[in-house]
Amino acid sequence: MNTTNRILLALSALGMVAIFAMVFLILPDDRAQGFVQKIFYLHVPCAWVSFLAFTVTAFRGLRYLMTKDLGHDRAAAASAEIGVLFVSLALITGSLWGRPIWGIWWTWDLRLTTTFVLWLLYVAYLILRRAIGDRERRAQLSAVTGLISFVDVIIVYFANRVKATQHPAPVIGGGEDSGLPGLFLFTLLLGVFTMTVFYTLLLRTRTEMAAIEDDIEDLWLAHS
Amino acid sequence: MKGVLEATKLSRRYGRFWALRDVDLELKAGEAVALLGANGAGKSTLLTTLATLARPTRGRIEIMGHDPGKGAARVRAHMGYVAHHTLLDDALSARENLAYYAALFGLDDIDRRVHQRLSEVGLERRAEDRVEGFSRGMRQRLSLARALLHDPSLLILDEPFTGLDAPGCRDLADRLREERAQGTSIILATHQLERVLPWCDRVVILHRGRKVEESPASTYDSIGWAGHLSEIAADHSTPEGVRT
Amino acid sequence: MKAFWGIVGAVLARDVRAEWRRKDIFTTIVMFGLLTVVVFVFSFDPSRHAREEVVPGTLWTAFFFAGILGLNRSAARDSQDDLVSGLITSPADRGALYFGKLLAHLVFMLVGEAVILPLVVVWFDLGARHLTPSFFALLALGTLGYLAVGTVFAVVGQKTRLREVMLPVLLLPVLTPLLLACVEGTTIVMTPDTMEGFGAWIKLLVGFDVIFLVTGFLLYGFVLED
Repeated sequence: MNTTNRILLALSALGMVAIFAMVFLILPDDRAQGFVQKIFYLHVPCAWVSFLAFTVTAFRGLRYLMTKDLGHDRAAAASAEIGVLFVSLALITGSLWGRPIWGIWWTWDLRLTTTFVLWLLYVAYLILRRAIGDRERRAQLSAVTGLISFVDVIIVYFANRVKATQHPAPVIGGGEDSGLPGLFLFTLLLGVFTMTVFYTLLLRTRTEMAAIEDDIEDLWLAHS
Repeated sequence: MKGVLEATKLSRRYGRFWALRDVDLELKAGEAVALLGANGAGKSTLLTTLATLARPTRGRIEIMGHDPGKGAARVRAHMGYVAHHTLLDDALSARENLAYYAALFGLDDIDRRVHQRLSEVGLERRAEDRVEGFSRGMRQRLSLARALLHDPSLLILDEPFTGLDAPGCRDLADRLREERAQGTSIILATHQLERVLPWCDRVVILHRGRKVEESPASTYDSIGWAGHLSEIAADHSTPEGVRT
Repeated sequence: MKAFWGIVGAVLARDVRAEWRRKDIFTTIVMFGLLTVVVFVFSFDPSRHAREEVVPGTLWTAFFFAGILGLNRSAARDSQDDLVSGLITSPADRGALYFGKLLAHLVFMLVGEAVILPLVVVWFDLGARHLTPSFFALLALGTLGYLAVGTVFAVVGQKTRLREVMLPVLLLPVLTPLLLACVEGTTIVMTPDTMEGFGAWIKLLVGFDVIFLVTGFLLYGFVLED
């Protein structure tokens, strides 16, 4: 493991410890929702990372189409895999939060539907990758699919906005009295930062691993 | 003389298999080259890569001075391709198929060109019949007419004699010979070298994706070449021979 | 510009002419569409539900699933005699090939819908009050957006090991906003005495169509030549 990855690992480990300390020891319980509200500090960072991950997938796909450099394809694929993990976490944490607060595990509202469609799109992306054997063909068709999926997520969001929403309004910039007190905001931003660092670490490691996998295959081929 | 085609260190991998490894090939204007080799030797891969259907994994191609990776349309406008499949729509007549391709190539004077190419391959009387009723030989001739519609400078043919009877082979070989005489460069893969030896300039032999021999066509005789091919296969199947 | 539309016309003409003689795509779309409607009629007795509850879902599910089979059929036919290689080795503009294919698919789908729709009208007892210009606008925009994406993914599907199965896996998630707009819009049309909120869905459909027509136009070449 190289120096950059070590630093990223250390940062994400420290960040995680700090978040848990804030959540369990320092922050007071929410007046209306009680302790369960604190899943928010895990839920929002996961959702953020999943959207970030798929943006990276689309961008790296576009770069592949422009350069035909397989390194971009490996990064796009790695980012999609990690994205599916985080979007799953966001859906699960959201469900756990929704059950005691709304009384239901699931509802077809704006952000839930958007997030679920995001999950579907990128699972389909990964299924596509598995269904193509040739490296260049896989890279090219995945890049196109990643771009279409990305554009679609934006439309899905607008489509759901046309319908009414029961998801909590955005807590930052959502209205006059929606601001968080300093400590709460700090914890949230810490969560987003930590998860982003953790994502970067996973992305780098997975991309390097994919490059090694390709190298091994090449070596095996050269001697067959 | 100006090179029509220049391939350098051409390699193509399909999944976990190198179908083509480090093949160099050069074709001058008006030359005809025959590709020889067992099934799976890489003939089709080489031809589909040259025909811009597959990108090379490594190596460079230049056709008519253009890199297909950059200006594919310019390359394609000068190239005719006859594949395993006919690339023809069964439900359309011979004339409709050719008119369709003429439009894709953006040609003008479509009716005249189509008529001329149809009569060259002896299909003018079947022009309005649907391809589904055609014999293998007629399809192959129509496929050649399709590839020649836009007067290409380079003609790429992948085993054009497959499935044809003796007269069919003779007709097709005569047509190709005429094209060659008119200055079209030709590269073709075949298992029937005796059909093309009389008018080919060079023979290139592929084995397991590599070029193992390239000689003037005059060094082969039309009977002994098959035995020679088996010898090459035997030589190169020793472990040392295939080691990279 | 003239060359561009010449290619669009050639692709459209070939597909439509071949289909006129074979009729396999037409048969596929109509049969599958009708079967889907029948399944819905048996599942939700139309006499016991309000139209706005069953018609939108039935109609669009039938069109979406029938369309997938039609698109698959069209793509499979092109790989049969390797007509795709004919497209690739031609110097024709890739965007023109996309529009040609798209228009051909549009003809197939609209003809299929024209056969399925009258039966839906009869079975669900729809009247002039339901079959308004708004309804047909919805139908046209929905079908166009559907095919704008489907025409691209049909080619992708054929190039994978999963073939026919890949198309719905890729296509249906992308179509969720379109499906939502079509179903919600149709519900408004079927509901008596109100058109409130209809405009927003039409706007969304127009947006979807424009965005994916441009995307398909730009990306079709990458899908064709991989």
